[in-house]
Amino acid sequence: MDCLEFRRLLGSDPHVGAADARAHMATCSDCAALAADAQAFEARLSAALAVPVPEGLAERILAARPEATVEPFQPRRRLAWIALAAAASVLLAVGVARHRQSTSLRAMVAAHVTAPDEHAALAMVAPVPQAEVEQAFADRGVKLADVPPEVAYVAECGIGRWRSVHMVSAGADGPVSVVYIPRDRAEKATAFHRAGLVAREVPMGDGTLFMLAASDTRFDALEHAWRNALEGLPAVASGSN
Amino acid sequence: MAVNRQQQFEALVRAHSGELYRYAYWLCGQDALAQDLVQETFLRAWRSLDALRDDIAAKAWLATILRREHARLYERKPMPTTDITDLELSDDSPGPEHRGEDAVLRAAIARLEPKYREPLVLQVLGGFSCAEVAAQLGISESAVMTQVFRARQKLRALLDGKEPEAELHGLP
Repeated sequence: MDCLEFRRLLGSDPHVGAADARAHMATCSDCAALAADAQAFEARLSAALAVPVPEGLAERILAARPEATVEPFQPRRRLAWIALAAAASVLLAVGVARHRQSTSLRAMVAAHVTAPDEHAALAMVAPVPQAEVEQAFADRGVKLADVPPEVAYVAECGIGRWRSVHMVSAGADGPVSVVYIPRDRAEKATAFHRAGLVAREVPMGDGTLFMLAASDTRFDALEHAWRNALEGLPAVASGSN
Repeated sequence: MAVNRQQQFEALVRAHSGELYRYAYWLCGQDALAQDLVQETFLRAWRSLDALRDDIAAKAWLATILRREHARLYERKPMPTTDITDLELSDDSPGPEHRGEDAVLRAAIARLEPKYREPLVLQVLGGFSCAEVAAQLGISESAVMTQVFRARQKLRALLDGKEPEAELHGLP
């Protein structure tokens, strides 16, 4: 092995363990010095990559495991007090799991609509044909009673394990990303902030409607329009009190 | 049997969730999203746990699931163009790359193009060989060797305040 080969190997795997590499180091002080320097850098690199792991991550994952919420619990009578404590733990685990799932979905929806390639969709202003919007929902097993105006972009997107209909609603005061997740209904309407956007999730039909934008000025109107479309009933927007 | 399955799953979570979080973080650049990706990865792993015959292979298996979960976030979008520096953090608190020691090196790692960063993370953090990284990424071993070589070259250049393509160790 010559110096060039050795240094190429050093750059691709600083923990050089091959016999011929070790033999070269033994005879070349320059390469041996480079190897020592590379291994010091490697230790620094390894430490830098090891970003702090959030506290309680493993516990949250275990609590969110589906079977963790449905395991049968049949305590013996004389241990009833333990049963009560355990039942409370199960309820807490269910709560943590549901909370985690909703926050997980919010994060994923926000990540999806703010992906760099989304910029092109956000710039669209021409309305797409109503039939395309109806078809996207039909493909997700949802029949619309109506199609709200100003849908400038529609796509059937996978967001993590969720199957969504992803739209952009154009407007004079800027685009609103609208995402509908069928068959996963939020417990209540919630306003939140993610990725520099204001957002609202609303239980609607058998699923959840997300709206994300720089401003929430059109959220009430959009919520009303989409409730008509998905439930066929006029209703008061959750954000208007 | 169910108990064994649960014990196996819990052991997997406790053994690998931290490392997977770090891998996810360097893939997506966002703390909250990285946590979600790890959670989704283990959810899928739980459903497919019976397919895992060899605990030694668990780390590579989980890393592969996580890569797919990350790619699924952008199912309709070409992922290779996504750069970590283009992504916003989801909250106002400093991200993990700004905490602890060597924030300068972490910032330099974040500036690497994904094609350089990902094999480097798998090699250094995951402890995978170039051949194993190649198998995970679906590219040749020589391509991985080139990418991790270039990754280190670029990091050193960034730290030295030079252009990333500057020569190091007298090599082209």
